[in-house]
Amino acid sequence: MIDKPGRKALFTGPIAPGTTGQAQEQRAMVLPEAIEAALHAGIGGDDSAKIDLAGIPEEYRPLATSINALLEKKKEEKQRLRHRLEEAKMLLKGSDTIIQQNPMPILVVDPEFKVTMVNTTYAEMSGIPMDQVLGRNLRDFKITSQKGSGLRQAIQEKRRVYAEVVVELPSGTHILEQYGIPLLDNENAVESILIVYNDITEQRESEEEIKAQMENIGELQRQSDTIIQQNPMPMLVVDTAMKILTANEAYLKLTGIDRSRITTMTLRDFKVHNQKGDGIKKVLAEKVRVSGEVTVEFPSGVYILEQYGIPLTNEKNELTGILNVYNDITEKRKEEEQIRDLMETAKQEGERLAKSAEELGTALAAMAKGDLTAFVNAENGDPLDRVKSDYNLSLTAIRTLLADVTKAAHQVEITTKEVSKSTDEIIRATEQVAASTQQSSEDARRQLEKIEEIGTDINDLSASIEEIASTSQEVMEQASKASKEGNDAAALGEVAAKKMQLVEEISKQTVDEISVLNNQMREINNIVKLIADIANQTNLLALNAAIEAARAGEHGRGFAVVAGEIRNLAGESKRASQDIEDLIRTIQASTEKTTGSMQASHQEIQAGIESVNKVINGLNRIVNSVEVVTHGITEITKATEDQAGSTNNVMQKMDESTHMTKESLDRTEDMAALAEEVSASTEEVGSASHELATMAEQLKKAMMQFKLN
Amino acid sequence: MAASVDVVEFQLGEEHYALDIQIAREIVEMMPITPLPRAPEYLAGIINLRGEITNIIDLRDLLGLPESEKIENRKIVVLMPDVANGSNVGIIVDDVHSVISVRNDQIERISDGITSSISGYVKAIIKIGKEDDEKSKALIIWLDVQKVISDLGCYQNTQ
Repeated sequence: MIDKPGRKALFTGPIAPGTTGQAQEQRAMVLPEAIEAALHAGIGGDDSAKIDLAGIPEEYRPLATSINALLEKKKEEKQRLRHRLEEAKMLLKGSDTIIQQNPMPILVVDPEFKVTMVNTTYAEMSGIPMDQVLGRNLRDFKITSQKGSGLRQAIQEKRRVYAEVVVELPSGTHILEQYGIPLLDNENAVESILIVYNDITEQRESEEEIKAQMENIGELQRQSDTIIQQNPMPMLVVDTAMKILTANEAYLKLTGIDRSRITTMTLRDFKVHNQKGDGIKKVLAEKVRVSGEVTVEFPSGVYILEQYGIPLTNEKNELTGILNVYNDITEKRKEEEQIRDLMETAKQEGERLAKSAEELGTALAAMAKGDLTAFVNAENGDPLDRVKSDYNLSLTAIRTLLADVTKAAHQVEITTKEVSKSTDEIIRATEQVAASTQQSSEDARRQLEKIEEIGTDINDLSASIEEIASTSQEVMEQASKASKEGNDAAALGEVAAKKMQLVEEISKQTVDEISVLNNQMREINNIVKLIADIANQTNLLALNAAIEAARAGEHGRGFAVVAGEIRNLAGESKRASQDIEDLIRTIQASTEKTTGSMQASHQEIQAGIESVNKVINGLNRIVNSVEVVTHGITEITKATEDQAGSTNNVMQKMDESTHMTKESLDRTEDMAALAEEVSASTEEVGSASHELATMAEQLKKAMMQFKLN
Repeated sequence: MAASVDVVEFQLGEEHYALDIQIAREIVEMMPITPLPRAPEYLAGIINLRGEITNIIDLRDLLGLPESEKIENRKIVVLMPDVANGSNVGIIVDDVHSVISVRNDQIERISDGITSSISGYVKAIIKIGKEDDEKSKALIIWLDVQKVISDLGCYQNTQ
């Protein structure tokens, strides 16, 4: 960027040889135009422009000198700038190399995140060729996770940002530390971002592995701790100086030493009474497992312990500590000792016993042969002293006894004979008893059956009574319902009777009114008849007048017409009266019919009232009867209940009786069985007494064998 | 205007009859008739009509008509004395209807040749009644009452 061709031209300008020539031409120019030309050349960038003082008039000389100084200064300035530019170029080249040769993967992107520069390390790391990375946008990379500040923040805040990103690249998934460094231009705007990555994928993986191993180790440690702590065998771990590091629960329980105190102690602090086998010191010396037996005094008492020392070594096979495992065998040893003592005593006793037994054996052998005179000597300290004296006593006793036995045997012989006879008699008697009890037992069973039958009958009776009770209860309910309904009906009947009476009155009134009407009708009829009569007479008069008129001839013609008219009127009156008469007749006929039916209904009503009254009376009688019935039923219910109670009592009594009979039966049966047993026993006794007699005889013979004197 | 004649229309049984108005003196209501002993069958009896003894003849019997049941409207037509040679005579009819004026064209004379016991007494048949009136279409028998009465006289006389 810095090496734009334009700038190069700017600095290479003064090297062109033409300009010097131009300056020389200026020197030949006239005064004060020479000054002006020099100034123009200076402004135009000619470093070598200078005013030749020689060609300048006096009055312009100071000015020319000043201009010359100025031009000189400018030339120096320019040269310094060129020098610095060179330095900058070197710097730029250096920074390029820094990026390209950097062992860290580096990217340079513009503010749009488009890659403008990439180094070979990045290409190797990502697996994308360099020319393909260039121009690619960072947004196209697949970032699966990001921790820390993103690149966007670098643009916004213009400061270095750090993030840890997981990105998927063609070479695989990488965990990268990402440093974003904003590069600012002269206006302090972000021109581009330098991104430096640090691939920490492997580092992370190994960290994970170490962590897993650590956990595994921790687990193992915990396990071994548990093995020691929870072990039922007492255990100790000591260091090479015999100082106790840890002790398990079993050890603390055995020794009775507090856990806080045990860690301050060493193995030497314990008082050892006795030691067998190898000591712990051998472990220190030879690094081998030892076993032995120690008798130690603990606060809880003296213990005999089996002791196992196990060397604990590190990787370099150096001894780091000793694991001591103990087994408490105190009780076992004690028991063993006791058994040994007992064995010794038993042996001595046995010897003495053998000697004594021999003596006794000789005596007993004599006795076995029937010699009852062989007594033995019993000395003090003889283990069989008691036996011997007992033997002597026994011998004496046997002698006495045998004499008694002989005597008794004789007596027995006599007695058994008598007994034999008696038992035969008893057998006969008991057989009779057995038979009788058998009979009695059967009778009792029959009696029981009868009683049970009676019980069943009474049960039936009880059920019937209960049925009667429930039925009479129902009947009573029905009766009271009937009584109530009868009362209601009676009330209704009375209402009906009252209404009937009302109807009767009304009908009577109607009948009266109808007869009045009939009378009036008759009167009307009479009047109508009168009118009819008058009409008839008028008719007749008119006829006669017509006849008279006809006889009068022409003169009576007008009169004849009048007579005709009168006759017509009379006819009409007559017809009208006839109609009225017919009407009245019809009315009379219907009123008569009405009267008839009214009278009939009146009679019916009368009959109805009578019936209703009869019904009411009947209902009242029913109600009364129902009440009587209710009362009766109540009595019946009460009686039935009493009966039920009595029946229950009878039942109870029957049950008791049955029970008693059963018991009696059982007893009788027992008795029968007993009688049979007795019979059998007696028979046995009989046979036994017979045997006894025989045996007594044998006994007598046997007794003769003994030598008593 | 056609010539007409006045007659008295009366009823016997179900039939209507007529008689000349000149021979009728008056018509009176039926009244109690006093029967005469040993009188002929047709002579119902006598009545006292305003002081005059009048013979009452039962025309029905005379004409051989059956006894009628309608008696309530019975009337007595009193005839002019000259009809029965100066004696007062009345005839019993079942009813008197009216005095009617009969035109000549309504009168039908019947010949003597027809055999009928009363043919000699029938002067003519009167057809009154309008064509559409069923009831009044009935015919009226115009009796020659004078001849009937005078024949009685002959009969009496012959007796």
